Amino acid sequence: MIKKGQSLPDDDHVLRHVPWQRLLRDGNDKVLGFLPQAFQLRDGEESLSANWLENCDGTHSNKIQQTVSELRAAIKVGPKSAFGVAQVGKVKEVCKSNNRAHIRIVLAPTKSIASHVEIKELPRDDIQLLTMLATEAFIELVHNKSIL
Amino acid sequence: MTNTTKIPIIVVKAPIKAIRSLGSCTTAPGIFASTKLGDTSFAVRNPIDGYTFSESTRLYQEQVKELTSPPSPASLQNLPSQKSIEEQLFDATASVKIMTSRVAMHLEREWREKLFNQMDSLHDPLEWMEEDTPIEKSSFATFLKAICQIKPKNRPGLGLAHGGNLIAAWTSGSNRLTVEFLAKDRVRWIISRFRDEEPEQYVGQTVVSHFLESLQPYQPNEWFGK
Amino acid sequence: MKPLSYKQPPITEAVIEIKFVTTFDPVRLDEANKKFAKNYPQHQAVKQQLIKINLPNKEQQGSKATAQREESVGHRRSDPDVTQLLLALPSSFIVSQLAPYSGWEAFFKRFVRDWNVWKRVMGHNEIARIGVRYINRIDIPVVDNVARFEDYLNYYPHTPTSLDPVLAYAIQTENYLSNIDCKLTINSAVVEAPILDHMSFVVDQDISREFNPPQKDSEIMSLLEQIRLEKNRIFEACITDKARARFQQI
Repeated sequence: MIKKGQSLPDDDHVLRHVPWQRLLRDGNDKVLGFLPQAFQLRDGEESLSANWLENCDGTHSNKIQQTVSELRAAIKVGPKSAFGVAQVGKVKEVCKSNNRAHIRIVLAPTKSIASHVEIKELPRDDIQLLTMLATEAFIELVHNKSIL
Repeated sequence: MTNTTKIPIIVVKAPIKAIRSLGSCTTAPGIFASTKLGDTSFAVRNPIDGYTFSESTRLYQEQVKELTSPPSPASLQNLPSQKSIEEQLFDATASVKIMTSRVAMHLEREWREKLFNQMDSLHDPLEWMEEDTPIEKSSFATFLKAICQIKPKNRPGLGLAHGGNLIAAWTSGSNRLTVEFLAKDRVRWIISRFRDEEPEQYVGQTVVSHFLESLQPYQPNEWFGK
Repeated sequence: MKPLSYKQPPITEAVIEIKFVTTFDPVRLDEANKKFAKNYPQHQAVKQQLIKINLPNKEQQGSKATAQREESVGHRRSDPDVTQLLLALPSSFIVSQLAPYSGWEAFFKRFVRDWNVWKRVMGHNEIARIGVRYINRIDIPVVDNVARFEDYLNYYPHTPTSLDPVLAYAIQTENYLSNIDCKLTINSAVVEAPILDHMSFVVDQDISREFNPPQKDSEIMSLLEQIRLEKNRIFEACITDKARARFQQI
């Protein structure tokens, strides 16, 4: 049982909501993946928000569905937005490569989102790292409209 | 003995823009101060040159100032006021559409129309995140300069960073070129490729006038399709 | 002489303005504004403020300074693409077309349509001024750090060669067009270029009649057509064949 403030196991998964504006699309708006900016910290943000899939039970799809439902109840999730799913260990590995960053992914539940996690120590503006997160870590894309 | 000129202070309740305009065209002496509507900060406009130059020079100055052409309808701006998010998003897209019209003679009509659709899509209120900033005009200006020069055959996908910078992305299989257009004619780009299933990245940041040149070692035609 | 047509005309904005002697009350103006909603769905209120300050002179010592503010609200409407604009202002009716410019016929047809709508609501009001303004921006390539504007333009300041190169300029001239009894104002200046490797030059011409403008619709339209011909003639006089080649003469 993981408590608040503890790091997630490498085998677990995180899900990140990516709004329409930061989805990688082709010239005809067909979604292809994530832009690096989908993982960029906002001004004033100290850590990157995501959600812990294993906070829920069931199959991988069930966990995604439940986590998305929790998110929808708490934040605005645009119809054309999507979610990126990554294995915790892979996220850490990508960040560690070339000594870029030693991140921690810790459970940080809020009042309305029990599965909320913080990805800490993420460099603020390393576009190369953000691209690697988009292309090598968060390789599973789930469209919001595919989840009932 | 010091000769001191007393300068009256004239305070007028009006937007700063109006006060500056007034201060620049009146021959009434004084320091013009403005209370910006809604707060108590002062903007001081000081036509001190009224005391520096002769009467005839000041008259010439006024005549030259009158030789400015009036603003065109497209350049008329509404005074800032509390606007809904939909209005803010519309204003943002309207601004960039007007900017695009200024280079319409350098763009294909179909390209321009699709660009407008993409901008509308990026600013769709249904998809809009409250914490985001709509498209920044300075970023869009940089984008237009790049596109008018490169004239890519392949259209990019467009995105928007949190702070309002426009992002353009071209893809070729699993390879991608992502460009973020910054203010003051700067661009930041990253190429991500897979070679023998191993990922590679190449990063650059330069002024927009050198952008195409900076991509030459990386076969830009792969994305631009020229 | 048949007017020249261009595939890529350098027009950035074309404007037809009718100014009135009277000022319309906001309620009536808003009534007209609403009639244009179908063709110009996007709306913005345009506020204009006039501040009057009265300062006492020596003879009025002891009197207080007074200030009055007059605020008027007009309306700016546009199509979704913000290329077709209409302004209903307290003393003016303005129809504007941004680039890409589709030709006089389309622009004038729209003006006539909108003028008829305006008149149905506002009725006849004495006209003070009729004006047509065309703002052109000519983008000239920079070669070896020089943009040879004199190769493209016939309207630019004449300066001694010992002062070359010219880094920037702004000029204005006024002429009287006796054949149509109108005033011509041309403004030309170097402006910031929106595209790379070019310098941009605005040639902004405004043709207007302020003295005894026509009041009947048929005469107004006739004057506008005459202004159009003059506007074309003047523009062609301001540019060279090299510029025409850049606009891709049809």
